[in-house]
Amino acid sequence: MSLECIAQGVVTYSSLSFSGEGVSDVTRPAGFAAGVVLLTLDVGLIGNAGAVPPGILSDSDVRSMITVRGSGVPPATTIATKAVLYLTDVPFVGATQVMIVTVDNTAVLADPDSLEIAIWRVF
Amino acid sequence: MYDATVMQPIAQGLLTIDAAGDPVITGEGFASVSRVTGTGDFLIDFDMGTGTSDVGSGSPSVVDGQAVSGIFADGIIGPNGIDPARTIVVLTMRGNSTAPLVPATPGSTTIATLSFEFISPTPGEGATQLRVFLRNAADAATDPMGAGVANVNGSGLEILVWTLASADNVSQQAIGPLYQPSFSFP
Repeated sequence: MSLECIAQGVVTYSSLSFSGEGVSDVTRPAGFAAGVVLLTLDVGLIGNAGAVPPGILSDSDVRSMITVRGSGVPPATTIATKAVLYLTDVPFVGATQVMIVTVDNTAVLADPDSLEIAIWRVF
Repeated sequence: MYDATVMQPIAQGLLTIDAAGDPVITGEGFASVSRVTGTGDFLIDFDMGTGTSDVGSGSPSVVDGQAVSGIFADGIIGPNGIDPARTIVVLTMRGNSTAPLVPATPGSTTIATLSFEFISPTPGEGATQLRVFLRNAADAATDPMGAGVANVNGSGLEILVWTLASADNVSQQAIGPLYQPSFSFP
């Protein structure tokens, strides 16, 4: 078994930007004021042929790690839950976008200051 | 880049709930999953032979024609399993929606705490099981999805397991050419 890291970096919410590798754009989907961002993967990731295979309930051969960076002293966060979804965008190619959803401790969609994300394809 | 410690993936999978309400684990390195106390509490078995110190895996009670004492009940000569002190686990929830761009169903999860512990059923062996416990913000045990369908809790739990193998510590040498020492002297 092997894991190939296809994207990694830090999402900064104040500027809605991404620093790292494998992600070309960060946007806020229409209808969401906070708590939801859409990462567009680089064109050409692993030939862009199923770099992130689609699938919600099926095993899509992709795994992610999300870690919220706190702010202040000590570095605190109100984010209580984090989730990832791989969005089917191109038929027969796979997901080219990854959505991250964060909710605070009052069950309301909320932005962290920033978060780290790593995405692996498994073989 | 210098790898201070090599990380070797030994298992990865997606834990879901089937239509009958039973847990299912897909991926590699995991043999089976079952419930322990009920909702949100899962016991996952690693594949037989998982673990860098599992040199005697699968051996019968006779080695080189000699009966061997200290044989474990399943026929494995220890040490078996993985070393918890050298193993890293990542748990990530998948969001809840199959239509994630609809504001009413934004693809979030209610799972607020994801925790685990390594289980070593046999004294003297390494860990051969992983117990995962999921809870919501009210500390109630919660499944990662509904029976066969995504629900407000999510659509499954991603699991990654790495073991660490230091090039400076050949006594914990992992398998494969990347983990071999550059030189070896008698």
